[in-house]
Amino acid sequence: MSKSISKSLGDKSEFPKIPDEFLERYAPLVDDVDEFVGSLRTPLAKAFRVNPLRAEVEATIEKLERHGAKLKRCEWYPDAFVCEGIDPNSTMENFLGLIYVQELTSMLPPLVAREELTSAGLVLDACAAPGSKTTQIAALMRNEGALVANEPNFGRTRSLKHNLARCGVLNTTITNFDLLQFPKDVEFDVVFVDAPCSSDGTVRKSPNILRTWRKERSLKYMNLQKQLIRKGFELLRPGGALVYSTCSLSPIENEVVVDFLLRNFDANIEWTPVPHFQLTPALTEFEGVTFRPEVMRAARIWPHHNDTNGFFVTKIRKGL
Amino acid sequence: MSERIERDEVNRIITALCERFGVDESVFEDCALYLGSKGKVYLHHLPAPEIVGAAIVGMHIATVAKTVKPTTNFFQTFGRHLRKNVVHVSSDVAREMIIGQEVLALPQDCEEVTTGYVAIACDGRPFMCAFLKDGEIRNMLSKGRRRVVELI
Repeated sequence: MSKSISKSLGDKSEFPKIPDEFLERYAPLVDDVDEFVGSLRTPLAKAFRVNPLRAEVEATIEKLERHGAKLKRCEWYPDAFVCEGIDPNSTMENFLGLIYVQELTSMLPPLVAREELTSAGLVLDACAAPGSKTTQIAALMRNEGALVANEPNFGRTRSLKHNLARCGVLNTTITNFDLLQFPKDVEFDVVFVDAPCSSDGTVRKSPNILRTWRKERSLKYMNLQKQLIRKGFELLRPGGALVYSTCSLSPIENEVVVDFLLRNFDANIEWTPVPHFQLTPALTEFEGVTFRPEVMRAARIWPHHNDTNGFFVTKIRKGL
Repeated sequence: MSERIERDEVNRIITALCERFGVDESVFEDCALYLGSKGKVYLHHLPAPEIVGAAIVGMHIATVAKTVKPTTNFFQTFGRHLRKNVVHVSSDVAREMIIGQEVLALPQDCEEVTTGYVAIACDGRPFMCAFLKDGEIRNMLSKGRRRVVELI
């Protein structure tokens, strides 16, 4: 381990030690290890997006600034803002659903399918609670068409229902299927699979993840993720688009899962640039395993590139 | 599970809400209504998908029993279309009501408000449902939605 990394691990007493195994896994994958480690140790500022179903951006921003908010607009998504000076959760704008407090990386999956969503007739958000992406998808659909928000965990439906109502969403049906049991008689134009994962891209928000981090945990999620991506893909109409995402940095939960789909189905990955936001092409090999070359059209988001959490997102087109 | 409501019943529910709050019925032209458990009425923009086993279709906008009771969702979503039975309150009063203050005396400048369900508005925007009786406004905001809103 380099001297500079070691030094950076012990500076902030409240921040847990970064496990050696964690660094051994990720240091070879990043372009700048010191910046990567430094960003992990820097807490994330709160972010939100203005909800166009309820609010007009400029008027909402003006009001929040009157509350004392210091806002920085995201170049890559003009509805999104980083907020300092106030807690946006405690505002009337949040209570009324004029804004939705949401991590920036979590806004990416709907954005990469923005074009499809403007004309989609039927969309599935397969792992929907608490509704951050669902409400954004509904907004990008302009409350038109039909959106199915599936949440297998019934207990989490309450927050989903509340957030949909708060944001004025009127085009959404909630289902509680285990996705693997989702009825096969429906075909969707777009399917979002934001898969359950080890969440080790969210260290900046939840540093305690590092206290229990084990690389083996990714293997447990990978099996489920392969089943979910396959089922999500099967629910697409020919020519439809699947957006797969996780908040994990692990290639086991990302590239390996996408490679599995490409090897077994008529699927094509599309590189989805987001102007003014740095995406890194996904890996083409990991620990001796070589992936299909197209896998590199998927996108990794490293926390030090855009001052965000770590994330993985890709759009996959079903063959006609 | 929700079931789609027949046209006549849809008309009755929409008419009741529109008459009470002065909303133009054309606002609901492209909507379907669904009936869930305990008389809950859900609204979905057309077209609504036919998903077998759907738990909830659309937004809970009212509950039907002897009367049609609007929800806070209804007021927050269609608030800009309301023309009557809206009670305007100050930021301080709004804050107390959202926390959960149960009863409020009807402000003196609300002469055109009649007994029954009312929308409570702040800064021109309806934000919750309440019930007016004998000059008192009773808080109808569900306990799950009550919270501290510091900045209004």
